[in-house]
Amino acid sequence: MKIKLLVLAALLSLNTWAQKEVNVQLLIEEFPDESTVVLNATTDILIEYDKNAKPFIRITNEESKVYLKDNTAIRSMEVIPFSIERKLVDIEAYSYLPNGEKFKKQKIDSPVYSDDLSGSSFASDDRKATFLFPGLVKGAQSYKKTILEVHDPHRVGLEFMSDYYPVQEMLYRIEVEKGIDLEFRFFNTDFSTSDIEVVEEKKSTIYTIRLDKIKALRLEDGAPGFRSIVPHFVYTIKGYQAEEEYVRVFEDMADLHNWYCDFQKAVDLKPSSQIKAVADSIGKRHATELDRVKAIYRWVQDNIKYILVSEGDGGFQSQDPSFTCDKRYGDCKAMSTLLISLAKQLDIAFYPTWVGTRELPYSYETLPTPHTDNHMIATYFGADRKYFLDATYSKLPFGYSPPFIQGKQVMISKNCESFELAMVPVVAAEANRVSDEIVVQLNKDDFKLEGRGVFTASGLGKMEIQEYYERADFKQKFIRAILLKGENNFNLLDYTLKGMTDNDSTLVIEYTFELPNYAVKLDADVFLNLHLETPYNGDKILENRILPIEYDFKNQKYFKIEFKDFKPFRLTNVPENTQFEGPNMKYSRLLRSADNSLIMEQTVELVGLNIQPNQFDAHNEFVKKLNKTYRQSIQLILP
Amino acid sequence: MKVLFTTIVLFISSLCFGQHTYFYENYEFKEGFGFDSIDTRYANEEEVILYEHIAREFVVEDDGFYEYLLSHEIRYINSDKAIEENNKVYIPFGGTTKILKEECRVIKKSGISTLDKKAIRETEGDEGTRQFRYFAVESLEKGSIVEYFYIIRKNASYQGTYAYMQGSVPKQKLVYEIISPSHLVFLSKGTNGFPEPKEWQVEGEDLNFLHFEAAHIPGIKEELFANTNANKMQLIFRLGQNTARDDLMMNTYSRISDVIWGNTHTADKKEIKQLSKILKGLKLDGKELKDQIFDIEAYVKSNYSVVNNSNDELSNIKAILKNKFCNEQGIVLMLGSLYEAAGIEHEIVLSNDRFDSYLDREFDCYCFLSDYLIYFPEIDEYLQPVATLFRLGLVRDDLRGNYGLFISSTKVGEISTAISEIRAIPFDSYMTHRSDMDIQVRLSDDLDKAEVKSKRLWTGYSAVMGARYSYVNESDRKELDEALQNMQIEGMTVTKFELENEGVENVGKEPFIVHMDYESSSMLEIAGEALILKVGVVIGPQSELYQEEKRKLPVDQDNNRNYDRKIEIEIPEGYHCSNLDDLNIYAVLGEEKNPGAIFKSTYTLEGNKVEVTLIEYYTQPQVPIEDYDAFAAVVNAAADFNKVKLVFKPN
Repeated sequence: MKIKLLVLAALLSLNTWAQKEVNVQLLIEEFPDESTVVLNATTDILIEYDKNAKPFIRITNEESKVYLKDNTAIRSMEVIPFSIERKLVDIEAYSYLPNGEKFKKQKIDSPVYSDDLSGSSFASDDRKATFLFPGLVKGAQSYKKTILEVHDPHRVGLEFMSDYYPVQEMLYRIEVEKGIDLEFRFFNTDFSTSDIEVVEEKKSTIYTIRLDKIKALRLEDGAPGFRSIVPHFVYTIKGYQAEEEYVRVFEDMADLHNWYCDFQKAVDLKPSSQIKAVADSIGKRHATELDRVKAIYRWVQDNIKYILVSEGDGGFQSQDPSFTCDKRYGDCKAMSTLLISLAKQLDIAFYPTWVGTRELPYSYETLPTPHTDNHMIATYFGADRKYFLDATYSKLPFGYSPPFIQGKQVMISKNCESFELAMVPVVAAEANRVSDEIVVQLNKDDFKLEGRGVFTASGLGKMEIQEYYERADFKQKFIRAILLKGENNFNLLDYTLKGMTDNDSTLVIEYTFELPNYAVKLDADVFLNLHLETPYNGDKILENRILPIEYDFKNQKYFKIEFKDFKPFRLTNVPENTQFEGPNMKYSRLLRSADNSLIMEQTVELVGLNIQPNQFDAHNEFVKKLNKTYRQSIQLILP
Repeated sequence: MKVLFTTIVLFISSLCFGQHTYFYENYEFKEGFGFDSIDTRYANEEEVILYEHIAREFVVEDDGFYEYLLSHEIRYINSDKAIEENNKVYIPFGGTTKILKEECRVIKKSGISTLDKKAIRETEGDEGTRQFRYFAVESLEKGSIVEYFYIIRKNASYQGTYAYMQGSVPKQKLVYEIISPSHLVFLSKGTNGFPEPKEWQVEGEDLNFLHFEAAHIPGIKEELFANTNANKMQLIFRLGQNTARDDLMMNTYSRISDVIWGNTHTADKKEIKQLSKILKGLKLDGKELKDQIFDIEAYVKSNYSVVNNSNDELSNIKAILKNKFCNEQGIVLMLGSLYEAAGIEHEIVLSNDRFDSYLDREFDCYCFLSDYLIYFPEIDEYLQPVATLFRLGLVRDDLRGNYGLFISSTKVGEISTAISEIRAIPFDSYMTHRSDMDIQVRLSDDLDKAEVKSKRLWTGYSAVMGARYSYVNESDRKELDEALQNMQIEGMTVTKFELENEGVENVGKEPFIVHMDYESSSMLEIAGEALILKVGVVIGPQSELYQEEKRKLPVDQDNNRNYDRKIEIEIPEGYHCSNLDDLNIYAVLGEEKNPGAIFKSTYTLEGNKVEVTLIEYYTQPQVPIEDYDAFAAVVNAAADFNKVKLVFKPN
């Protein structure tokens, strides 16, 4: 009897991954626009002791899909990413091709293995296996199984609970050997720890996460980063009982800090002669501590080019500052340790600091693991504030933080025994101000608008312009695009630039321009819309949008137009002063007139970085008001 | 994707000159290109190539024919942008390609730092994947000179190459050399002013030495509506003669025609039988020739997918039928064989992207044979096998306006031979690529916004947007919809959106049509009692050439095209409009009767209905630099119309 059962079990398990019984027609009706449906995605995660009594993780992923459309052969290619840390030990894959009432099973050719240079790293351990599912047609199914192994318990475990295709059934089964402590945290989903099915076996605990009918993932422009929107969970190995003692992995923040500190300790901080020379020179030229801090920061921004190296432990291990200084390149870790080393030469303390970019929706308290951050900076404690120094942005003004870490929590390592948490402040809108003040006249012969203006930009608004300017092939064309107003037949006659090359000063562009065919001449009247700039006028959010919108940084835009010397015309229909606000924007318009001039000032402020779906209507109301405000023209009549 | 002429075997190894070392075996860094050498004319440049030396030496060795490629560059780096663009070096290798030497150093006023070889990384991968040795250029800073060279040995590519001698960065000095054993003669041709070679004799060496030298080659920048690459100085060359065998016709088109025909038509009886079965299933009998051609193409393109891979299985009919995927060679083979089996007369055409280089009629070079077309003489139409979204009549626009090698098969007695000739692949008529609009604009009853009904119709390239709907998922579909809805009219709300003839099955048969109604308050400006309608925006955003920096390159457009637009405007009751003449805009390139390009908008008024007719078309993709202003005027005329505003005043 026992034998029979075993045979039956074996048959059943074989059947599990034969092609599925699927009514393709019903699926097509349910998903008329989808090319593919994932029938089943199962991930088995086995965490057990290896022969050295350390946790070892084996991740087996099985997935079967059905293809619903003609032209399905274009979906044949599969790419399996892996790395040296996440070793790919096996791939098995088949197509199941309709053959009358039955299916014909066809195995894939051997996958092609190669380094994956497609990521942002100059050098990494990323590899990929690529293969093709043969023979795919409408109604065909595919099956793939991959096995990955991870030997370092610090380097697991984030799993996404979604796919680019609809998923009928998704299952995670995590089996953990007794003695190893595991913790789960869920993000962007209603699923919670209490929904996990837990079965205690003699030697292990089995956690099952079961999901079904998962909608296809839809990404939208301008949405927050992937991990801020896609449902996922993180399982953390908190610690494990080794033969003699209990070994902590990531039980709390201190463990994470200790782990990072081990990498920091491995950095050779001994200064090279170059570091000494740079520090000496800064010390000689600058007397106060803050000036020296500024100069150190600026030197690294100017002289070290960002190149990301993440091979081996490079994802966590910084190269030595002497190397960075000598070779003139490095990633965020390398730049931070160089900042620290230079400061140390002048007896100034900079502290290694970790931070997650805005894409990562975690805090150290809730998730004390390396998933929480992906970036490193240095922190300087000034007399009245902290300076978060990120040299990876070569044009960032001193005292600012780049947009992608504003509002994020940082872990500042005071020394290997202590650390402190802090928040990177979100820079206020006024600090990122762009203003454009123009004086215009109407040419009475051809009704061309002629004028001169002063454009200024500071903070991150200026940084953006500076970065683009440096890359622009045609500089004049770029400046014209910045100043363009009214319509695209805007004619820039002349300009001068100040402050474009210095990160910390305000950019000032003085210019003259003309704008033909903008004013509308009609009989004896002229119609003129003084709203030559109409920011956010087209910012209406589409009705079917699902995801929130994220902006890079708060900012303020100020436009002043002085329209003068319009006599003998007389002005009528001058618009009224107005101000209103939306969920994350504010607008105001002020007008005042004198004998032969009219001045209009507009200020638009982006005061919040996100618009949530429940604010979409209010935002659209705001944009509607903007539309109506911007469309108000003045009329000039001859008395 | 380059054509693979795998069946060609080059019989040259019979002559072997014993153990040959290559000419630049002892190559070292070059002295004399320090800071003093920088010509004053480059003082304000962000980046200058002070010296570039490429040498390609072709060597016959016991086990094959190899090329030793020396690539040497000395570059002055004078901006952060230049640093970022030059601080990483990738050297291709892998398979039979071996790196023999690689050196890099950075010269600064303070001294020289030389690359530590340990810093060179290497990718790993299976055969067929792209491999690199690569390194970061160390110690690079503004005002430094970076110098690197490498020498690789690879399988000789001798059948023809075109190489750009000019790039976006100015070159102070360029040396290009082609070196070969004395019995192998390379032929060459320079274009766009690249100089003729000097024939060198090197003492003690029995070598052919083509030595090209040029100084002060200016940088060339991208411009709108221009063909930057084709205007660069280029060098075209191929191995042309093997004097040891009295072969003076090497790598000519006449040599390869049979091979190409053979590679694109199966002779395997079993395979032909399988293909005939497919043809039977397509029920072509009684159909017109054009429909037969169309149906065969549609069958292949919708049932087999093209994968970018040179695996033999992908260009073998038996495997293709089984796996449903193929490579470019494979899909041409499928189509060629099917047309042959169906008895449909056709020619195989090979050409290349004219935005890379124009096929040179006078100089045979396999480098120009990179893309396949199939031509049907009876109906004078082309199809492009690899273009999944295109159907008969529609081929990639960069292949039109170029020359092509046309290969057909003819029977002499029982023996088939392929014959070839160079012919032009003409541009399509401007009426092939239509983007038409039929629009009605009125103001809402409360005079607060504009209401627009529109029908947009596309044929030719523009209609391919509709074909994409055949390949999308739900989320892509929303993106396509949104792209079609985006007229860049501020504050617009779409109230109706309907597609007609979407899907790849309609390409080349039916126009793709979008019916869309929308409203916008921003289109209506208010000045007291007067209403200002920004009616021009309904034609959508237009290209503009208003304020360009001084034009350097002639115009070379993608294709001819036509825009027929009609706009009906309803003047609200109780209002009148006295600036309707603003709707009249006119610009022409050439004569109005037979223009190279024209924009003309006119109107008629009947009651309160204004009917605007816009004619815009382009019949001359290539416009010489002296006619640039007239061309720009036509482009800008459309952009000017986009800005037309009508003022409605109360009666």
